[in-house]
Amino acid sequence: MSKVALTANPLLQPIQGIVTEILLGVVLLVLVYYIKRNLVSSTKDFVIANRKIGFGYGVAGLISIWTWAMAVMMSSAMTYSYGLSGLFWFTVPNGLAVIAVIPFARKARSLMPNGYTIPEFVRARFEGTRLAVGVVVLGALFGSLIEVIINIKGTALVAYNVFGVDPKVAALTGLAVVLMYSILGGLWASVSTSTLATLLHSVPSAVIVVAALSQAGGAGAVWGAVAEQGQGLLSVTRADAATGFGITLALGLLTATIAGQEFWQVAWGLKKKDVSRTFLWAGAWFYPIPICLGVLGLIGVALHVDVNKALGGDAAAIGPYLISHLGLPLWIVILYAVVILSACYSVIDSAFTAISSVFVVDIVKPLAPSIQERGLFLWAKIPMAIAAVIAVVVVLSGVDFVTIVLTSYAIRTAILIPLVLSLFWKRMTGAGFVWGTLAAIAIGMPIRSVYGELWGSVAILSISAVIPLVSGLLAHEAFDFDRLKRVADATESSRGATLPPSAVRVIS
Amino acid sequence: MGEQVVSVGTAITIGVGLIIAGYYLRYMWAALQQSVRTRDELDEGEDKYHFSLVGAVISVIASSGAIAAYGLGAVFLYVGPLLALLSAIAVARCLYQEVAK
Repeated sequence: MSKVALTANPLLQPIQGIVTEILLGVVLLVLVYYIKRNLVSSTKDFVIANRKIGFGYGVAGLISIWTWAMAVMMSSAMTYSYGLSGLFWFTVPNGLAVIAVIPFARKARSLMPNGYTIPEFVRARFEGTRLAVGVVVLGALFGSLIEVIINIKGTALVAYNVFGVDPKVAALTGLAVVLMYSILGGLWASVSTSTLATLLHSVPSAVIVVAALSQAGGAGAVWGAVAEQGQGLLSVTRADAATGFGITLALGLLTATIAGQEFWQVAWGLKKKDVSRTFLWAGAWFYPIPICLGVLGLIGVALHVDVNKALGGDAAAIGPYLISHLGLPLWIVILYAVVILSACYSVIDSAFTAISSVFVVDIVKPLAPSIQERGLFLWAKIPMAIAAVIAVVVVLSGVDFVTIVLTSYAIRTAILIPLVLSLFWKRMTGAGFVWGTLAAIAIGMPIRSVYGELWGSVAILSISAVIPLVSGLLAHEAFDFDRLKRVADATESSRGATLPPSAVRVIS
Repeated sequence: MGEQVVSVGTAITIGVGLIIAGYYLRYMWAALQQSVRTRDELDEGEDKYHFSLVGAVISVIASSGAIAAYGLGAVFLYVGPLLALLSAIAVARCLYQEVAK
């Protein structure tokens, strides 16, 4: 392995990074333009794809929406840091988190067939409990905004590490490209570009890994060099991977999918018969992408890449570093950049669409119930631009966005169990939802800051479960779930989205 | 092997990948046109899929097995690229099913 020299590819120039970003955007824009002309003519088409997403587009779309830039890079990074145990604890919960949505998506779709968003469901489920809706709206908006920021930072990271592009220029370019096509097509644009992106995550990843193995001396040399180092690097049973990040990551991933508007909007956007199998196939066929790219981490271990000297202390850079320093042909380096950029773009467009649907259904529509379709269609696009501007300000100013991350994390984790109970337990009350969520945040976040993420998450989940359960058992009320079926379609301007009175009956 | 292709293995992966990509794009386009054709049709189906739990168990075991296999020997490092190609085939199959109906 000592014969392999790691040197920067002299052919790589910043302009290539910018051109790659723009060209990828142009290809996606052409696709979205066709979709805009043929499939998107109303607010309902824009925010929920008129509930006509089919099996194939659903599977491919979900795979790509869940393949964050960080997922592409972290699978290599975790393998590099913990060996195969790192890859195991990173990958297995990731796919399972998508599959875990099935019972909730299925239930949400059957209970409220005309639904759009999580806050809309909460409003209909706990009629009159405005605080609950406010908390959930805040969680949804912050959650999506943070996805935009993290993935735009991913764009900047790969453009900088591979091509030497100024990170701010790379971030601005990527954001402008995604905003342009997202504003044209909404959820249809997100799902269709993500379908193309899934092809870009899978086939190129196989080519890149096979080429990298060859360039690093062959699979035998790589495997032998890793095995020589011992330390359980070729075992999936290292406990430090589970305690170091695995368990916490698994909890976070489940929260991100089950309480994530990006997944609920797809659940409501799919054709009814395809909901369950789409989530199953998406979770199952997501697995190969991180499994394949994890091999880059083993190559990093085999070549003794120094995390501090070569990667600036950030293991996430192991993939971009290896690909740009192994002496691979320029086209393979660009192909790797396309894999990561397409992952960034597909997550950002999905987050833009989630922000749009929450804004339209949970802010504009309740404030202006009689708004006309034309106005509503316009308002569906404006929040995407606002989110892009906020993301640009955060990225360009270099401001620490930890507060946004923590707020988003706290709300999503705190609403997870109340949300699940709201779907399946008729005795769940609005007071239980509100106080369970707020108490979990108020008590759990200080615990998190003192005792770490794992204990913080356990505290938040426990408190948010106990309070609603006690409240529900004491209240003697039962919600009539059938009433959710009669909630009107929110984007049909002539009707509101409220329930008729007496949705709750007292249990004698 | 020319510098641009890196190795025989890479050349084979590129060849197979291009064929898969061709089929993938073909079915993606067909499914998109199907969506355009049927955009005004009523969605009258019901979700009666009953293999979610079994499918979840199989996929978790299979993915765990694939990762563990890397530790068995050098040749198993190619399981990842193979699965990545299979992933594209599986999604292409889903797109085909959308059109076939």
